[in-house]
Amino acid sequence: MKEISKRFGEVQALDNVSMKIGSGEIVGLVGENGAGKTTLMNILYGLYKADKGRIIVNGRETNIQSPKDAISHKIFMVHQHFKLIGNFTSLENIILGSTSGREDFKRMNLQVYRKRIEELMREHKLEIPLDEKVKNLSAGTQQRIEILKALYRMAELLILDEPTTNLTPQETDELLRSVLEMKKRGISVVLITHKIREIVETVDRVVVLRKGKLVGEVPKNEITPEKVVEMMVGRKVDLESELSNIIVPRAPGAEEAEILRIEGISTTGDEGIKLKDISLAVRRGEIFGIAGVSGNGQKELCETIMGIHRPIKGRIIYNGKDLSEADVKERIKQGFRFIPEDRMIDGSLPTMTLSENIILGFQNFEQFQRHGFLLYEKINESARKAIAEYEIRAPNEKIRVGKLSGGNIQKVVVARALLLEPGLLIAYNPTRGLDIGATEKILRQIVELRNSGVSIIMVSEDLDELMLVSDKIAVMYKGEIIGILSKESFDKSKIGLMMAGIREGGIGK
Amino acid sequence: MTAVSKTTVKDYLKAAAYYLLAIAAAFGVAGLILLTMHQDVLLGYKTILTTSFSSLPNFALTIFKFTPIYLMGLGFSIPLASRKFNVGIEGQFLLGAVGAAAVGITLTGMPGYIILPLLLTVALIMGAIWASVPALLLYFFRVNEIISTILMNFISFYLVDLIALGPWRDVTAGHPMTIQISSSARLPIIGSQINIGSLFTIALAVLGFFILYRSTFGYELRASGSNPIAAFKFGIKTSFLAPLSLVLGGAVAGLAGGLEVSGLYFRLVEGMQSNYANLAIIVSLMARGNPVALLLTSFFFSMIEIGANAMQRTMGTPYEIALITESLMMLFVMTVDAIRQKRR
Repeated sequence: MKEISKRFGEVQALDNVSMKIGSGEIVGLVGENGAGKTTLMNILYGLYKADKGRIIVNGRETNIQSPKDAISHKIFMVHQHFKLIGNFTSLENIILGSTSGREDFKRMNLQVYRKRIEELMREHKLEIPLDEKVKNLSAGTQQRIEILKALYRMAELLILDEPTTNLTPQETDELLRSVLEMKKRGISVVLITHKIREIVETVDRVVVLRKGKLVGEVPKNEITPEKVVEMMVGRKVDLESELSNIIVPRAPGAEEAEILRIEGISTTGDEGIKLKDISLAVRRGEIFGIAGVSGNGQKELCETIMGIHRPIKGRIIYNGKDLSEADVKERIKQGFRFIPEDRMIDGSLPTMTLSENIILGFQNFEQFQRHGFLLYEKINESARKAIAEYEIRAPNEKIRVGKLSGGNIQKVVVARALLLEPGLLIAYNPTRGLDIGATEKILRQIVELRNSGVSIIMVSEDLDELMLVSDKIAVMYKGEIIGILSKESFDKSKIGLMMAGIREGGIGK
Repeated sequence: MTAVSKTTVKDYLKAAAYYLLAIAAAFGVAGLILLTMHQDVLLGYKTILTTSFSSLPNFALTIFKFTPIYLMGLGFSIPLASRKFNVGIEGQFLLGAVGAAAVGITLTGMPGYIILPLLLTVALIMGAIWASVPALLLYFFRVNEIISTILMNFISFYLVDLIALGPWRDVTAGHPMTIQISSSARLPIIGSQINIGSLFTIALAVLGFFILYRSTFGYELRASGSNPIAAFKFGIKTSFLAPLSLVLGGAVAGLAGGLEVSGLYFRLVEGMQSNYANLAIIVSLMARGNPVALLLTSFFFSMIEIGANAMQRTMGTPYEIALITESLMMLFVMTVDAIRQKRR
């Protein structure tokens, strides 16, 4: 790709960017949110048209107008949000669109396809259940299906957009192993990511973008995460030391007042994982971390505390008040704030403006309405402040949130939770999909909230991050809290074992 | 900030240009159809676009068309904010008409300032009641409102037949209709031609706009429409708001029926709903449910309707050319939307 430029309205998304991808090469395309990584690849894949620049495939200048053109040049892209059909089986999804002609239609001879796909699964170490409906499969498996779909069409260049965002650590390892298998077979892979640490071992070269410009390339033997991060952000970043610097240590033994008390909460499990007799207490100015493999009841616990689901048993006491019967509205009024699991599914209103998204949950607050009518002046002002404070990349506060990038939507969701003096913040993966700069900023803000006396429940699948900021960590397994550790006794391998269901000092149920 | 607001203005102009293009394309195709019928295309365009303004009676006629189309469009737009499709505006309109006819026929000898508000209120309530059946089904059993409102329409047609052929039947008429409502139950005419009912549209446009886009209620409604899961998780009672919006929409559609009885027909007439419901849905979708933009789209469609009627009289062109043009407009607007999405 040579001298590619692309402008979206007032934003210069790409400015004269050139990059090469060799055959059988694994290239890491890194940069912060909005650096133009995905845009560049979307141009290669024919989703966007470059304002300027050329694309040369196998030595020949090529005009790629649509994904169809890209595919005909054996270029494939797996997006961050998968494009599979939930009600079809894995097998059906893989062959979808690649069968041609009436003959196939008449007698879909699945056996022939199956053999070929099974071969591919073996070759590339990508195991999937072929006859399961896709909607029942985990994110990791769905991603493997997308990749197999590309391989089945004899891909020569595979672009993976933020492939590790929705994966557990083990799934990430598996993915990277398959990428290496592909390389062995001469397939080129582009990994778009901002999590440089994860791909250091795998890539042959990284290409760094910053604010639409090519910053540089680093060959394999010169890659160090610190160096690449510095190129991405434009300055030195050391999350660990910076955060530990601002965490105000607590005098040992000094116990702050209890803010939130959960007594024996159980749920029916209708909403997902069944919670079993959960009790915990969060103190003033404390970050209460919740660790666990995704899908062990963290989401259900957060939502039950927020009042979204009613438990069948147990009490929720906040500041000495029994809020077990209070609805979400009332809990928000009392100071509960929520960063939900998925910014797209349950965190944002895509067709409404950034301003309107910022006040979701606060629309009845006195600051924002009078006699049932919204005070848009004030709302817009708050939104403008949030845009500036969280560096949300948006032209103005009246843009529809659905038009923002994923990372920027996450910033909107976080900005909302921190907008009006929280009393208790329930943060589910608050830094999900954010780049290093934004992650640092948001973790810093959470720590500062803690320092100022706010209680925080933080769920994270990133154990390092969680251990860095939490005062206590509870580990969840199959809807239960299997143990609670305090800061002195944090130990990664111990927490890892508990996440697998093994209790401290013994084998769990 | 000035740069930003400049962009927004530019964006609006761009959008306007796109929609003008869509309208031009619709007229272009309609012109081709006229050509195949060996008609004078330019005269056709002129008739369609100018008849409404050619004389006061023609303008008044346009307003007469405009009022029910607008109000039914609003009845569709309110639930649309919460992503509910109130296809039942037709039935709600008819029930409003039934209610208005009942009040106008039975209550005689009462002054207009009592009977008129009463008549319109009853029309409003009847529309709301008719919409509350699908609303309750939605609330309690999550029955899809598109299906239930359509089914309610069918019931309403036969209910109108039943009443128009029942004890209030006008036996002198050859078509199912009731006897006339009392003279005090008729809406006054302003100027000499314009129906006072049309003033309701302006008032409701402003009210509707403020409720949908400025009130907390409208905010919650739109939030439920934008992302019901997120709205619910942030404390908005989505399962209650969506059915409520259907009831409100039904009330407005019912009011439209009442105004037709009290201001135009002075009785309940079988078939008085014309094809308003279909037009109303199209104009509402074209206006994206915005009550103020709806004024424009409804008026434009009323103009085409009146223009096409005139064409039929003066040029012998079938009136159906109006429906063809209107459908083409909707299709081209949707095409333009799709293109704009793609050209990001």
